Amino acid sequence: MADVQITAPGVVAAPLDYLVPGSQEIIVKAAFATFDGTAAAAAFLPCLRVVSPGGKVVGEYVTDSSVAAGASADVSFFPRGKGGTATGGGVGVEHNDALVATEPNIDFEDGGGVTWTVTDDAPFSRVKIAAAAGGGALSWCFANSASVSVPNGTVTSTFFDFTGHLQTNDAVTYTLAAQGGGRETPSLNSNGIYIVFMVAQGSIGGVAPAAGSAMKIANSIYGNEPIGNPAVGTFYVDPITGFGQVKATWLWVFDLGGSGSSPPQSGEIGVRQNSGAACSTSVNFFAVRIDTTGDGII
Amino acid sequence: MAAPMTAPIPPGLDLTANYTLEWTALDPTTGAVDTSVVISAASLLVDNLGGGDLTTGFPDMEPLFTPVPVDLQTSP
Repeated sequence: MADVQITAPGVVAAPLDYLVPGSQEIIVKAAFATFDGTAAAAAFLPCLRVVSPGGKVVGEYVTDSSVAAGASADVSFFPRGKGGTATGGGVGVEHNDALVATEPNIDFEDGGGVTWTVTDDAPFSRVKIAAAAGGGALSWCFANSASVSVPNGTVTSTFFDFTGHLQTNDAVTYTLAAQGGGRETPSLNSNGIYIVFMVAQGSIGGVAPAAGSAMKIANSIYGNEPIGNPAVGTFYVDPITGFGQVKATWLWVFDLGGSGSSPPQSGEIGVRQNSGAACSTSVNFFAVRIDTTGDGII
Repeated sequence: MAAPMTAPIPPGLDLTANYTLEWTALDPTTGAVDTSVVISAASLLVDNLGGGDLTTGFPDMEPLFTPVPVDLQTSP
């Protein structure tokens, strides 16, 4: 049987129904209508709806975009679903306006500091994709402690307090955690590979430090470390001020999560020194997370 | 001037007696029918598997207004 056209005889306010007559059967090849939104107060979506004999909606087929309030549209409905395209199905995926491929599925994978949000934007018959900079890779924190007088001696560490002095671009990954004596130190709360750098800067004023004396940063937390330095700085006399000074650095690369230690990680940060005098010292703490899985080193 | 638009329907959309095709306008946010939108010039192209009369499927509608030439209106 040849295709036939059936036309509506006039105009009507939405909706307009076509009831398949009794004992008949049709295959819809195309449908058309003019949607006059002159009186519409808001944008609308032209739609062709299929309703079963029992009154249940079988499907609603709408345009990709809406018609503005007061505007009109001539809408053609035709088979264009999966399997109906010339390429045998799928969605054409473009990157910066250039077609990359036509495949039935698209996969958005988080990474590189970008987290994708993929949601079904059903009213507009589309999937909406939004990118957001993640709190993941290359998040960082910086913290500086209050100055403390560190007595001469190599047996006992003097600890530092960072309360109120944490800066970060990721307040989930980096916080301050309570330690003994009301002190707080930086806490690393997320899986990942971290580079952590600390420097303890001390001065014993105009006192000559003992020959060969040093300051060492003492810390046993912050993950499993495959790369680190001795964390020892040697006292010297500043040639400008004449003061005995020291800069001990602590450089560590380690991972949390995966097969390494688990977050959160924090602990006391202390120093010991044997300059022969009390040493006024503060510590700066800097951390950057370069990977979000934490399963790359250990 | 009405803008041309397209929308997909499933290939091989096979409908038997008493199924209804409904042209309608939906609120994009709520999905509610917007009855202020007026539909005209509706038509279907179908494969008539039953072979019978399909023209009775549309309801009675207000006829399309066709402007009559002025000279016809004023002719005696």
